[in-house]
Amino acid sequence: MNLTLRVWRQKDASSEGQFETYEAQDISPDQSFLEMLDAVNEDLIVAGKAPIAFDHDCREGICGTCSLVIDGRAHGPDSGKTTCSLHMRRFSDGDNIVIEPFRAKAFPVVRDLVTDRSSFDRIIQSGGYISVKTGSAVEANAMPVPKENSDLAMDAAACIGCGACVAACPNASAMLFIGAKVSQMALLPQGQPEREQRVLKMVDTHDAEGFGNCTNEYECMKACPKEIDVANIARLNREYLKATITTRD
Amino acid sequence: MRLIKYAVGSSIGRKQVVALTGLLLVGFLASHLSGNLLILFGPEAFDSYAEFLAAHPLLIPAEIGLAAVFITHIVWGLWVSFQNRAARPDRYEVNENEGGRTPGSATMKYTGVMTLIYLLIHIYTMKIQHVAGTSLWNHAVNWFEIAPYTLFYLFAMVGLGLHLSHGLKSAAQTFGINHPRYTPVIEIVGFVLAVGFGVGFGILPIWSLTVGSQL
Ligand code: FES
Repeated sequence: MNLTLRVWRQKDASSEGQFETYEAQDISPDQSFLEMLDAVNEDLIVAGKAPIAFDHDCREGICGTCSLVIDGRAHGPDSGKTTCSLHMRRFSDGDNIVIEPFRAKAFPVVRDLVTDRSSFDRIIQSGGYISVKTGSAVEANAMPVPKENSDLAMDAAACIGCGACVAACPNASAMLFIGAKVSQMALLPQGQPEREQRVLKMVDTHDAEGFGNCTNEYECMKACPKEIDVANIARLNREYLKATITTRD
Repeated sequence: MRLIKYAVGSSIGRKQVVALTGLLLVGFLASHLSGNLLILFGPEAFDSYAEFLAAHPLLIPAEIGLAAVFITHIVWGLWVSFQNRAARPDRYEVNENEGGRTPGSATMKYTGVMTLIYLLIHIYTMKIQHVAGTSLWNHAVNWFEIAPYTLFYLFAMVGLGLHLSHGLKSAAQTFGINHPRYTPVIEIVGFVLAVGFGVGFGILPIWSLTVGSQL
């Protein structure tokens, strides 16, 4: 199949970017979206031009490194899928495809389609951890966890931190991300000692990084490749309100 | 310190301020609508209610409280939406919905601003311009005979309904209420209330122009 791509090109963070048009020729429907970009890049290199920079790592939907807004949808048109798991059979011969980077003040463009998502790392550094030595595994029954909580915590822990929630949010808010990270620990015994401070610090960092305020449009949940539920944002809101009232600072 | 930071300097706190004041305003709308529906019972019923309110000693404190709630809701709401705009300085070339937005959620700031414009006009026409001691019922019905006013009024009530269709369920989520048992109920109640307020207020000019002007 042959496709026409309009791709965002930007030399570096301080340069102005613009869209460039490329023809992707002889693309197999079995190729992944990133393999299609690889093929375009090979042609660009042969022609002596700079290849299109984009993020990728595992290419199997588990690391959260790939990104892209494809025809206005974070990680492309399919729900529950990362860009690296998107296949070209989802498109038709002759399609025009617009490819943009994730756009948010807190995710500045580094080059072309690559954005700096280290704001997520700083949110995690501010509270998304447990400061206990785990040691060897404890006896299974020493720490009872209700089945429902372990399921909910597992669902929240499916978040791969890709930032699609921010990209899809009309307000560029990262509430689904922090909601998942706060929830996975608030639901389990290991997360209890730092429960209050964790939510306060993570929300503070979120706000300082320049993410927007959630207005409950739920675009994040629909865009999320791991289908993280917005009930995690409700839990975050509860945890935050509770911690605000009970903290002694 | 934390409480100030919460209400002024935190994204979740600011949203909860908007949600709380929004819920209080829904309470006000409910009492306002039930009073206004007395218009349908003719001049005597409505005017005696209006005079009772005007003479009530708690009217001024209630109005000050209401104004404070309105202003907080408006200022915090606008603040949140300006911040949200700033959180994405470079816009997308293609804007495609992922499937979460609703007509109500996508238009929240526009219907909010429209309701504010309506509110200012409403205070001018029904409060400042109305001469004390004359029939408020006549005054209101006369205004409804002015076509551009009534069209704008109806338009604003559709906007109010849209605003509430997202506002009520959004407020529940903002306060952390999201539960498989309650959320569907909240969504239905929110929708019914939004339609109820839109239709309830919207019926007034229609009734005035058809039945009321014959009285
Ligand atoms: S490259 Fe790892 S999730 Fe896509």
